[in-house]
Parts: sequence; structure tokens; C-alpha cells
Amino acid sequence: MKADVSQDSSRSNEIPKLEFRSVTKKFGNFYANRQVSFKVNRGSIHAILGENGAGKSTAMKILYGMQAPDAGCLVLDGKEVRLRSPQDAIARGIGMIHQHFMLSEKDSALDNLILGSEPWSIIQGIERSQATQIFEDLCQKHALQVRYHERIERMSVGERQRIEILKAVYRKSEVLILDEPTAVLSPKEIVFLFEYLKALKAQGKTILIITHKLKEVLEHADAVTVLKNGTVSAAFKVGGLSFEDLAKAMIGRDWKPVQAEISDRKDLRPVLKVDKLTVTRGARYQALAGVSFQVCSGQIVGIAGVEGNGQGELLRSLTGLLKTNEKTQGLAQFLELDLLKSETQDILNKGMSYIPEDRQGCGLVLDATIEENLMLGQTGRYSWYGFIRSKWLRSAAKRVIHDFAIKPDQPDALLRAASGGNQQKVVFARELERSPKLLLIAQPTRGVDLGAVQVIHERILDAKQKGAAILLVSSELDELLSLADELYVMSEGRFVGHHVRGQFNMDNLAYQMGGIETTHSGARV
Amino acid sequence: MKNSFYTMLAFLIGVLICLSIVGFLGESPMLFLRVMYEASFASYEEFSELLYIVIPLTLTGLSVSVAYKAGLFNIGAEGQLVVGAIAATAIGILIPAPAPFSILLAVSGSFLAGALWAFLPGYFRAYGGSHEVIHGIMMNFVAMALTGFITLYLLKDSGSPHPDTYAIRTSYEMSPFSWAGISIPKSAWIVSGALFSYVLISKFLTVGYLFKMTGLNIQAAAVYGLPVKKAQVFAMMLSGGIAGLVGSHEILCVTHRFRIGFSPEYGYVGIAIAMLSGGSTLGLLAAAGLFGVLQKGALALDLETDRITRDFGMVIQGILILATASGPALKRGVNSLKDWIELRSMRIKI
Repeated sequence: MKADVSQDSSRSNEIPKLEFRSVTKKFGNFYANRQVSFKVNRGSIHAILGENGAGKSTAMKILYGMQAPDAGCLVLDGKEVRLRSPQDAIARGIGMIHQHFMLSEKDSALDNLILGSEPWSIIQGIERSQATQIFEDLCQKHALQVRYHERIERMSVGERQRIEILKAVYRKSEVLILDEPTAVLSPKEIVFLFEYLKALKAQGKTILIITHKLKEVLEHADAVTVLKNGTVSAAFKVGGLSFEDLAKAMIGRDWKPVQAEISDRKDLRPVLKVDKLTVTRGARYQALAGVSFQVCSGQIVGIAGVEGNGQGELLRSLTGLLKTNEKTQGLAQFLELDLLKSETQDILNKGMSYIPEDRQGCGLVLDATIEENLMLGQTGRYSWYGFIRSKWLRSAAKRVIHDFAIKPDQPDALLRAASGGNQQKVVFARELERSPKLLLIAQPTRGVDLGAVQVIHERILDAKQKGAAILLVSSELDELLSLADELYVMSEGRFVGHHVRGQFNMDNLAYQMGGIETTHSGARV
Repeated sequence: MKNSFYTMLAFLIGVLICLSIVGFLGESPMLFLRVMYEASFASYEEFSELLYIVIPLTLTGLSVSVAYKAGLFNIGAEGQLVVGAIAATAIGILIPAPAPFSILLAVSGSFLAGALWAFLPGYFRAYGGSHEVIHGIMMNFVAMALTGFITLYLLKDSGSPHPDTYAIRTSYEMSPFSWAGISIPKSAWIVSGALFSYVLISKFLTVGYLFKMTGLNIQAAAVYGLPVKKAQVFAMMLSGGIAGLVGSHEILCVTHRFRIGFSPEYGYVGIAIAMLSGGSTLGLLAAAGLFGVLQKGALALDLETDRITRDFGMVIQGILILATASGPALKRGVNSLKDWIELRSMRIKI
């Protein structure tokens, strides 16, 4: 199974465009990269696959000159190079498209594109007409549509990404590194992105994609290097490779996706009722425009959609955490409690659990211990007239750590030392420990390794079995398809589609996530 | 354990730097060390005097630590202790009360006054979003002006040529007790009580948990319904109250009357002590002791040496704060040196 790419390249007798030779990078006692070696062929799409914390980002930072390797070296076009800074890397034709775009919001696309390497003349200063000409040529060559006089802040995420790529191309990059390029794109935009990347490949550019999504690798990449715990665990040519092979190389064991049954329970009692809920920010911007839905006990209602389409506002209005410039209209009721007029503390006391999207920012206190985090929001349960019941807390923490297989397994270990997956397990452990009547979950598996994803999905279904009403907001379509009983698609603050388990229609879903309402949603697959 | 080792190491390096500066100035380092030591430890009297400096420093250090626990920076301890002192004085002059009650009254009065003085910075931070440092500093100035007014126009002792008030009633005075030859001010009980409460709160009470969570991640605490705004105001008031206790120490145990400018910036030194202590109670006592020794020794330097003045005490304080604060950096430095050596040897093997 373990095919070595180096054999293939020696067969074709061609110098690889890029090579990592025993690159090692150490942080403290932790090896982020340990003797990482691989080769990337010219004019290919090469995927670097691995879970979070496997060392992908470190490898790419080394390649982009942001970090120097402690040992080993990079070979570019058969010559050993030392990259001291990103400028150095750019000068050698390496371009990086970051996950969080590095664009100036208030300036036009054109200004962003030429920033730092403007065509210049003494008479005119920046030669805008010349720059425009260069770009029209570039766009024509790549069959791209870019509104280069538009300001970045008015552009969609996909368009911003295209500008980032154009920026790299304009700087004559031969090697393009894309860091998790599809994380923020809708399915339509993803298809478009890969078409574009293939066009670039045809022109002889070498493209490196950092990802943890197996499907993308199988569909679009030519070769893949799998990283695990900082070392290369496998290297493949993609042709003839199966999903299971890749998953096994990535997580080190077999991968069984969790799949929900179609629920046939008839005694569904609505726990959360939302009716024509509108959230207005500032004077008149409607972040959420009249959404209505119900969540019943023992039911998972999913909300799909590209991020930033009103999901945040929906969750904030349901948890009493709206900002001061956000106003609500409509109705949101949890059992008898009016959520729009209640304090967070009262809502939680009533039996709601909330698993926020930004777990490090507002789901956990990283510099506190695991047991202190388990007490967060449940002070009443673990205290007696103002005294902390530390023995009880300790035993509860030990039980939970065992139940969820949390590492590190000491209740008094700092949470910062735990991995993303283990941190998320702590959040789930805390919130499920209360046997909530209503569970709001946002992006439960973002940045979580595959092994923990499985645990988390099982626990969500478990909570459903116990009768919790669950609202699941996620931008991972696969996750929703495997868990949700009902699915709403959200775009620009509105629901543009409604699907029921057993009748999910992938095509419609994809269209709707792009904001296009289809007439016959829910047609049988 | 390892962290404190590097902190000690950094501290020793700081001491060595101080000594080399002393040598550079043409004074014998050994003489310097002896003067510093003898200023505080040569006799029981000297040691008793040291206690009179260490007690207020412990209180202000504790005050800053409490606020810091909840993520707030109480730079207003100086104003709070002055207001606490004027409150203790006013109670001591105006209210006739028999002995144990009088003390209780004055101590709680100074605590409340300090707490009230810290209320505004805390309230504006929690509910208005402005920064407590700005308000804290401004409240310091207001405190100086207010106590100046009260001293000069309301409670001025007409028989005294100094800017001070009448003396407090004798039932309010706390005379020191003597233990193993050392005379100890009774405000030692106040400090012990404050330290005990601090340990109780931070280790065993939910309030301490609330402070800690608010300080470490206020967003998460708010998402899970903790009353973070109340926590901020309360922590600030508690901090102010502890600083106010310095006032009752000063008035009841030392001067028995309010004199303008009695505090040699205890409040500001408290910030350095809190930072040095690293959040632990023992560390707090050690840091306050260190600063006490330095302040007391600086006075002796003037008399005992030819080339070093008391201002050199400030230089030593600065160097030692810098050195101790760089303990973690020293640890990182040593570790990366170890890594470097290890990787070199690895590379040779490759």
C-alpha cells in the first residue's frame, strides 16, 4: 500500500520542482516536523494531508520562509536553498495563499493586487492604466472574471481567494501554496476553485494544497503526502486510491463514519420554537431576516450554509448574547421561556447547553485546569453556600475524563496543553453532563482530528437518544448529512431550503448554499 | 518547581549586576552587602522597623494581586490607601468608642473607604468599557486633593506647624506587642486576616473561581452566564478595601494622626510586589520582605558609604524587578540552548 513517490519521479527521470530533505523543526520538547522528506513534481497538484497538529502548517511555513528548519534542507529545482523570509520565498517564485486572506478591505482589488510591486513611472507615479492592462491580460489568460475596481469588502469569499491567487501569479510564482483553501467556500465555489487550479497546472505551475479533507485529495490531487505526528506516514499517487486507504494513513486506524437512523418517533414535542426571527444590526442591516423553525425533543435540526450568513446572529439571539447594536424582532421560545428577553444565566438554568463555534475564545478557559473548565457555567452544581465542593468536582472530572478518553487525563492539567480535539471533548463533556433539554451546537468538529470527530458524533446521537432537542449549525455538509433529521439551508440571513432525512438532494443543497433558491427542494434522491 | 528555580537564578544574576555596579562606582561590594544586611537584621529594633515597612507593602501587593486575579490592573492603590487613612483618622477623632469596638470601627471604616474609592474605576470598566488604569490614576489625584482639603480645613490641628490633623482618641491607638524581643505592630493581625481571606477566596470559594475565570477569559465566562461585570466591580472594590487597610495600619499603629504625604508610594511599589509574587501567597510575603529590606537599606547607604546615595536604592529595585521578571525568558533561553545542542548532534548522525 505504501507507494513511494520518489520511485515514480526517478522513473520519469525529471528533477522534481521541490523537495523536502529530512526537515526537522522542534518547539521545546515537541517535534512539529521530524525528518520530513518528500518530492513534488513540476506541474502537478500535490496535497499535504494530515489532521490538525500533524505538522502541515509548520512544513509550509518552512517552505514559505516564515520559519527556519532546525535540521534538513529544501531543494528547489535541484538546488539547495535557504529561505530567510517570505520575501526571500517570493523572490524564488513561491507564493502562499493564506487561509485568512491578507487583503486590505478598504482598497480596490487592483490596488491589492499590485501592492508592493506597482508598475511605476517618474511622471505619473503608479501607472494605473498599465496595471489595469496587465490584469486584463492575466484574467483573459486564465479565463477569470475579477471586478478589479471593486473594493475588497464588497466581495464574496470566493472572489477574494481568486484575487489572492492572482496576486501570487502576478508576482511570477511558480509554486503556489494554498492553506485549507476550501474551508470557507460554498460547494459551487469549490468546484470553480479546482477548475482554476487545474488551468494553472496546465500552464506548468506547481500547486501545493494543505488540507484535511480526503474527498478533495481523491478528486483533484495528483499526489499526496500524508503527515502524522510530524512525520511522513505515507506518500501516494492518487490514481486508484480509496477513501479508506487515505483515512487509515491519516488517523492510523480504520475510519467508520457515524450515520443517523431516520427517526420514526411520533411523540415529538417542540422544545425550541422560532418564529419570524429578525436581527437588525445598526440602522437597517438585516443580518437575520425572518427565520422560522422548530426543534423537537429527540430531534436534530441542522443548519447548513457558508459561514457568515446569519448563523452567528441566530445563535447569539438564542443565547442572550446579542451585541448592543443588534436588535431583534419576532419570537424565540424555549419551552415557556422567551429567549429574546432573558439573561444567559436564566436560559442555561432552564436546561439549555451551548457549544460555541469559537471554542478557544468563548467555549473554554485555556489557562485554567480541566476540572475548572468542567465547572464553567455550573457553579451551582459544584458548590455549597459559596464553597467549591472540590472533592465532588474532582471525582466528576475523573469520571468524565475516563468517559470521553480525554488527554491529558489529570483533572488539574491545564487545558492549553490539550489538543483541539481533546479541548472540544471537554466542552462536550461539560455540556452533556447536565443532560440538557436543548443543545445548541456550532461547528462541532472544526479543527478537530478525525478520531475525536467520531467520538463527538456518537455523543451527539447519544444525546438525541436521551431526548435532547438539538440545533446543529455547521458548514461541513457531510457532517449534517450524516447527523441531521431536518436540514435548513441558510443564505444571507434567510432559509433558502428545507430538507428532511431520507430526502436529501445534493444538487439542490449545493445550489442553495450558493444562495440560489430552488423550486422543488426535497425531491427524492 | 522548575520555574521558581529559574526565577531564583535570575534574581541572583540581578544581585551580581548590582554588586558589579557598586564595584564600578568605587565602593566595596562587601561593604554594600553588609550595610544592606545590617540595616534590617543587625538588631531587634532594626528588624521591628523593617516590619513597619513590610506590613503596608504586603497589603498593597495583595491589593494589586486581587484585582489582577480578575484581569484588572489596580493602579489606584495609592489613592485608596490615603482615603482609607483619612477615614480611619476621621472616625478616630470624631467617634468616641471603647477599645475593641473602636478598632473594629476604624478598620472597617478604612476598608470601606478604600473599596468605595475603587468602585468608580471598577464600575466604569465593567459597565462603560473605559480602562480602569485611567480612572485609577485620576482617582489618585482626587484622593490627594480631598484628603488635603480635609486635613487643612476640617481636621487641622491648630497647635501643629505641620500639615496634619488632630491626634485620634487614645481608645483607637494600637500599641505594639513584643514577641521574642521583637516589637510587632498589632496591624500584623490585619495583614494575617487579609492573607488568610485571600487564600480562602482563591482556593475554596466560588467567588475566587469567578474572579479567576473572569480574569483568564471574560468572553467564555460571559457565554456561560457567569456575572462577569459584577465580578469586575467586586474584585476592584475588594482590592481597594485591602489598600484602604494600609490607612488603618498607618493611623492606628504608627502616626496616630493623618499627615499629608505619609506614604512613600506604597501603592505603586505594591504593583511591583504583585508582579514579582507570581500570584502565590508565599511569593507575596517574600517580595514584600525584599522590597522592605531594599527600602530600609537605601536609607542606610546614605550614612554608611561615601559614593552611594539612597537614590541607588531605586536603581537596585529596578534591576531586581527586571531580573526577576526575566525568569521565564531565562528558562526559554536555557531550553533552546539545550535543543540547539541536541539538534546539532542529531544532524551529525543524519
